[in-house]
Amino acid sequence: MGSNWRVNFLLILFVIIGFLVSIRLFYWQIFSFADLAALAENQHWISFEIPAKRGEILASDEAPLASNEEAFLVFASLPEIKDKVNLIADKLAPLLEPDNPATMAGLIKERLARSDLVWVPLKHEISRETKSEIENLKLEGIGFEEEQKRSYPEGSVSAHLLGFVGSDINGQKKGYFGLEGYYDLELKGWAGLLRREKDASGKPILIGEVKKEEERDGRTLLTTIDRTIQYLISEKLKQGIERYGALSGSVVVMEPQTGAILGMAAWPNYDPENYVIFDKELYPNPLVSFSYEPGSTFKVLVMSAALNEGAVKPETHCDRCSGPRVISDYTIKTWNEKYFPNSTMTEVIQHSDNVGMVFVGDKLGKEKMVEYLQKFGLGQTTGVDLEDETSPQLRPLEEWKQIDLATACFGQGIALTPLQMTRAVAAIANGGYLVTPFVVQKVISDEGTSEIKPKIGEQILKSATTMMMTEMMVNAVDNGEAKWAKPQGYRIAGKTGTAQIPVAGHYDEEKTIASFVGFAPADEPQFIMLVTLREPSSSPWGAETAAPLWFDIAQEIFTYFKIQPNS
Amino acid sequence: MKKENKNKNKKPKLIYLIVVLVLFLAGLQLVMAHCLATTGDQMRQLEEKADLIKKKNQLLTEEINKMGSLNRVASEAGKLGLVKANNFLNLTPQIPVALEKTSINIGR
Repeated sequence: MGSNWRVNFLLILFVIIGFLVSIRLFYWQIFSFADLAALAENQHWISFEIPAKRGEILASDEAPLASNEEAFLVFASLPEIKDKVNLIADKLAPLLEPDNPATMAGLIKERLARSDLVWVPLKHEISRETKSEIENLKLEGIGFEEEQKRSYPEGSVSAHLLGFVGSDINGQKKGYFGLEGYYDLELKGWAGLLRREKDASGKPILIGEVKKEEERDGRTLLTTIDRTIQYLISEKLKQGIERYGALSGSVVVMEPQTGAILGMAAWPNYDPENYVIFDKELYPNPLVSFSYEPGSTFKVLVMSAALNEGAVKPETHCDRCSGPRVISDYTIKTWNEKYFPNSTMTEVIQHSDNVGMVFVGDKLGKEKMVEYLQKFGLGQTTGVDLEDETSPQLRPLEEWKQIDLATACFGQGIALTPLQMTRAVAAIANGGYLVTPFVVQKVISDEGTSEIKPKIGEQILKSATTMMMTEMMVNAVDNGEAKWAKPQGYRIAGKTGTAQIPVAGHYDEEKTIASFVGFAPADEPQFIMLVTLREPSSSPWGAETAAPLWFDIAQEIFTYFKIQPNS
Repeated sequence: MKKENKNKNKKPKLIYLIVVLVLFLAGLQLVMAHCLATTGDQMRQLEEKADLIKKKNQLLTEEINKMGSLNRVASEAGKLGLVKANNFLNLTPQIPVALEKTSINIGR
């Protein structure tokens, strides 16, 4: 009886223990499978990331505008540190941050004092020379890891166009602004992974299994940027801003037939390699992200629309040009308060006559005006392959008042970006087609090359209209206010602009944006260029600031393109 | 009695055979390990050489990029005293660049 009891007790005990073990095994193998498998994976495998090389950005002659440079990460292995933290910080800080060693020393001390870590990064992207200097200090526990640094061989010349490479919230490299931002996915590539079996001490097992996911380097971008033009416009713009005492300025040069951007520069700019030390407001490209009221350069668009609709002809006489016009309590005057009664449309453009343009606006009408502004691409982005492009809204038709129509005819009360303006005038230069500006012409990778073809949009102006408008613009250059600065012997179609800047609900009399837009040679345009200068102090007028700068640059481009004068 | 002696004679032979086989296999493993180690070392050296060449190539590319920059070219040209040409002679089609000679008279 007694032995039976003991046997039964043991039997029940074994059953219970067996049941508990089964439950535990079930828990491990079913519920905790993923966690334990990951743990086992970590214990058996060692992984190394193989970084992908960021793709280059090349100019049209294949010279690099953005490339990669060898750089190093300085780190500290805390268990190996033998010297005092203060001594290390004082020795390293002047080498790692020569401009601000005190802050750097503080950062090093803070990081070296961490007791919860064994490895701390101290500074990324130091040069080979700095690395050698640090090595000469013979500090134990300070090591280096090789990495890549973005370099821009042409410096800040193309800063706004290219953008820069910074870090995202996870510390991963990321392109911001310009081409670096727009093509970040193509440029950055995919990092590879090398996985090897490891032993209990963490060392790789030589005859163990090796798994490798190949890295895929970023794609290279071949742009339409002509390095010489880019350098030229950047230098000339800098000189022009100095000469005319302007606050800022921009230049864009484009191929009118295709929309290929040959050069794009803005000043002040920044150094994309050291972008952190510059004001953040300098990062966006003003040519695509800042809007302005174009002033008289806009007259060529309104006149083109009126010619295209047959509302006026070049020889149409303005019968309301003998004095100022009063519209809805506003008096519209000419820029110099000189009036030209009975002037033709060609003369209206030549004299940049605001009153004459109001006459054109009356003939065209509000509906057609808005329709053509939309056709010229206003109110929508141009589609250029640059990250920071924006577009001001175009006022809906029902909100247009009589005074809005009148002021828009001479480019006030309407805003657009410099690139939108260039694109719209390019339609006059290329026979009436609205093109999409673009910067990248080829994307090159190991798999092959993909070509980006120009996007030629619909014909918005008749060919005859563009020819008439071109002649009017040539006449404006030859006989207008800026004729003194024009290079001799060339047929240049262009128009000056001086727009007042709206400040707190009114226009500031002193502050202007001077601009000049034009293309040359007028009969077979090889380039279209827009120059803008903000608040020039030597003279507020476009004819005395932006136009001479435009002609100065154009003269150099004629020589570079080997364009001969006609006479 | 004779059979027992025969068996006794066979056993040492088998042991010798096993010992020889073990020694042979040990030697073979030694040779194999040696070959593997030296080939691995050769491979490592080649890989290091390839890395070094790659690095050198990258450094040279970086230098070319810096040297070829238009900023640098312009500043070097300035240092050498080169100035921009401001006067150009445009050759128009009306003025022939060269004329065809129909006959050549030497020494007259």
